Amino acid sequence: MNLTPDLLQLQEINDSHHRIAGGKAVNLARLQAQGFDVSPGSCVTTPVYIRYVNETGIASRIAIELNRKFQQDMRWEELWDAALRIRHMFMTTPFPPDMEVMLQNALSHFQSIPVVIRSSAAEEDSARHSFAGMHESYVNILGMEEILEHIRLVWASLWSDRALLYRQELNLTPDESGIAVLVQQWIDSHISGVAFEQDPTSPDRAIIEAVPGQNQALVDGSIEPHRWFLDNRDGRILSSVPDDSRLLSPNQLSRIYAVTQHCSRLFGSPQDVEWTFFQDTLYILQSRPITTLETEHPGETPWEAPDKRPWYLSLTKSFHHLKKLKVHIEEQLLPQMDRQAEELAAENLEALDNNSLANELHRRRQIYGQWAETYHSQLIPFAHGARLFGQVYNDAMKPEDPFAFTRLLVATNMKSLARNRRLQQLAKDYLADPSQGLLDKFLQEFGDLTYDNARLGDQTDNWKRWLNRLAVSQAPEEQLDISAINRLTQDFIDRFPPEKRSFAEELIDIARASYMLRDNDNIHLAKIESRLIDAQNLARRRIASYFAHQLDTDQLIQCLRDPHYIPTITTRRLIIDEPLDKHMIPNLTHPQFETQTDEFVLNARQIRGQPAGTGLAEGPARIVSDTESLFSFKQGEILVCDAIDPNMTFIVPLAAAIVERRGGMLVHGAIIAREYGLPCVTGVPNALDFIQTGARLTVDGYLGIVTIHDKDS
Amino acid sequence: MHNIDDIKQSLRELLSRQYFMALATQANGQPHASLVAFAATDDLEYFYFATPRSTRKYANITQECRVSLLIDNRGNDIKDIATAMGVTVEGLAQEVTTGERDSTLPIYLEKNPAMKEFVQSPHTVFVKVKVLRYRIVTQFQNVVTLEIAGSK
Repeated sequence: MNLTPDLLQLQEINDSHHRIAGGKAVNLARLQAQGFDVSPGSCVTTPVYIRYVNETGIASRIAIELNRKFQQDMRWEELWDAALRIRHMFMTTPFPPDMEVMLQNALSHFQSIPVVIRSSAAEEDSARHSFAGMHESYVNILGMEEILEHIRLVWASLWSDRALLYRQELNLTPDESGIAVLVQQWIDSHISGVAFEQDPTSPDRAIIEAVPGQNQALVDGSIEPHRWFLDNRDGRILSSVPDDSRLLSPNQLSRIYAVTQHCSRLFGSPQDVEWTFFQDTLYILQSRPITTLETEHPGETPWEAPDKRPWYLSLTKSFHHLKKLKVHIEEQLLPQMDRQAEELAAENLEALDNNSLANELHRRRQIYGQWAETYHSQLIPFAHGARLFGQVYNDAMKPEDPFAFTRLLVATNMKSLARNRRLQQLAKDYLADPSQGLLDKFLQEFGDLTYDNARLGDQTDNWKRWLNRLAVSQAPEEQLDISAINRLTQDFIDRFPPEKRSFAEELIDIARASYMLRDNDNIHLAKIESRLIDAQNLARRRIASYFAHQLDTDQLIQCLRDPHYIPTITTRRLIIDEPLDKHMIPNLTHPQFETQTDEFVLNARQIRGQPAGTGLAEGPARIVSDTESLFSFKQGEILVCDAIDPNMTFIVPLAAAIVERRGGMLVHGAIIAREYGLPCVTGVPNALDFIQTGARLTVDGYLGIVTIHDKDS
Repeated sequence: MHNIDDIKQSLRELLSRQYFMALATQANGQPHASLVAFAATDDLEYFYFATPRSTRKYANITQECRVSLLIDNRGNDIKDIATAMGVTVEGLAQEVTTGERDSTLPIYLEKNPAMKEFVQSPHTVFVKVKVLRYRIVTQFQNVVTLEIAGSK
């Protein structure tokens, strides 16, 4: 028997319902009781969610998904993957029959009117936290079947990637946490917006923002809102942007201002109020405390801050942002990077005296640093294109495999594959005619790859060794069936009504470009890095000290400027000239990781990661961590590394399988493994602590399990 | 994944919280599993349990001293699959000698005071298992082996 109601009408809700109806519903009910206009609504309470996840077994499936590894070992990309798998569980698991009947009856009054379906979690909108936008909302939903499906999608958003990032703060546990869902009549308004009782940057002002039509345009940033600043003591209009805006009349502005003031008094703190006009009625959609997401250390780049979560959150770009970003990257950034590398290559370093070389070294490091920053601020965020597509694809197609969408992304010719084909050909040519001319031609083409702070073109002997090995190896077939991909693409587009098909097509374009860029972005950066390394190498030759190879850029500059300077050689510095991914990995090196104490020895037998490429393989491991191990890689070995960098993908065709410490279904290693049909497990914690070169491994790419066999078996 | 010290600590916690373990013995190729009350030493090197001398498990041990133990913290809930820890021990079983009995029996009785009468019966054998290695399963399919050096 139910002691708590499954459904509550907005007017039945009071403060005592906070736990089962959530903050948003309780706040709206309070506003309604105060006489504000609130759209009529019903609340599906938290206990209904809890019953659903327990009766269908989703609660345990979430527990398994989230217990794959310790939370602190999960990267944001893995959280996104986990969130997508969980969302897929909700989407493909129907309600228990009695629950479906109960909801159909209780919501029958919404049968034929469009509704808004929103989350109302106990934690959001409370005075302590405002996790704005943590969970999903769906607007203009019509018909019972659609309503029921979207209730489950809002439930799934309890476990969104954003929520999972803040799992500890939100106190999320698979069997106890719950979320209420608010179903409200949709208001087809002509003007909407957000009002802030207090401007975060200037507390004496209030702000009102408005856009024509629905609020969604404002939330996803696709339309620049009109903005008014008001004196928050008397509501006097101070200024507006644009300065002659007539989108809202003075009367409308003063009504919105009054409502915002009233809400702030009612809830006892400055509020951020979402509003909308329908004809002359001012509806309140939501009121919550104003919060600002600021990094704790101003001046620090967000990807270097101790708490990187605000940076991760900023990576989920809207369709409109991605569209603009794509043009900017393809037409501006990548050509600029290539031009920059060419300009640097054209400079004659040899002609510089030591002092000028020191200056040049300093300049090149700066240039590289700036581009590395661009890489973080523009290229990495664009990777979200593939993710956004993944979610839209799953909603439209409801495939059995939540990552089926990746099959559509490979239709374009991947540069890494083209590079590998070319490499194979050159190797065959070189075997037939091992001349210096051919080798030079090859180094011209591939020399600017960089790995572990070295320019690979500088390693002629290693390349000779490599070409000889590659020429006699059997490269795997690429798994590319263009006609099947075209069919899948067409199926996806056909699933949309005609007026939305151009959106579907554009989204695929963005997703493919994003996937391609992921495959190739570091190569552009490596060209610039190569020019920094050229200057470093020349400096080392001039210093001609036995220790020169151990000096970092700062020390090289000092040595060039001051012949009497004696640098202190410490251990090798990993980070200094490498502002790449390593900054984003909190536990890249963990020197404290112990596998031996007194008489105990710890070995791993099986480690679980993510199944990122299907298939099963057995073979000897090779840890690749520097150029020596890179060029020592042999056919049939299992590639074990921290993260596959596009600069090292030339060894992948020889690998039997890939094991990567860095996690994710859409990371470079996973993409390339799928291209070659190789079993791949990513996100294997401590892979480099427990696996040694030569150890026999079984890589299960179906389940994401790596087994390390005993030496004697 | 945990450090070795964290692993040892979680083993100690598991072994002090659980009262029963499955004991696997064998004779003539036939495995035999039994449920017994146990105690383990804080250094993780020994397990103790008691059994009547006439049991099949004791007969098996006298034929083949290599045994396996299973200790886990499942709560018979479907969620255990994600959260429970299972520990398999491989070790060598042997009756505790009269000389050792005074120093080791208190370890067992401190944890299982109700077994006092049972242990003191002339028919009961007090058995120790010297641990060779632990195989520890967490998070559904993560498996590590903790070897005690010199025992291989």
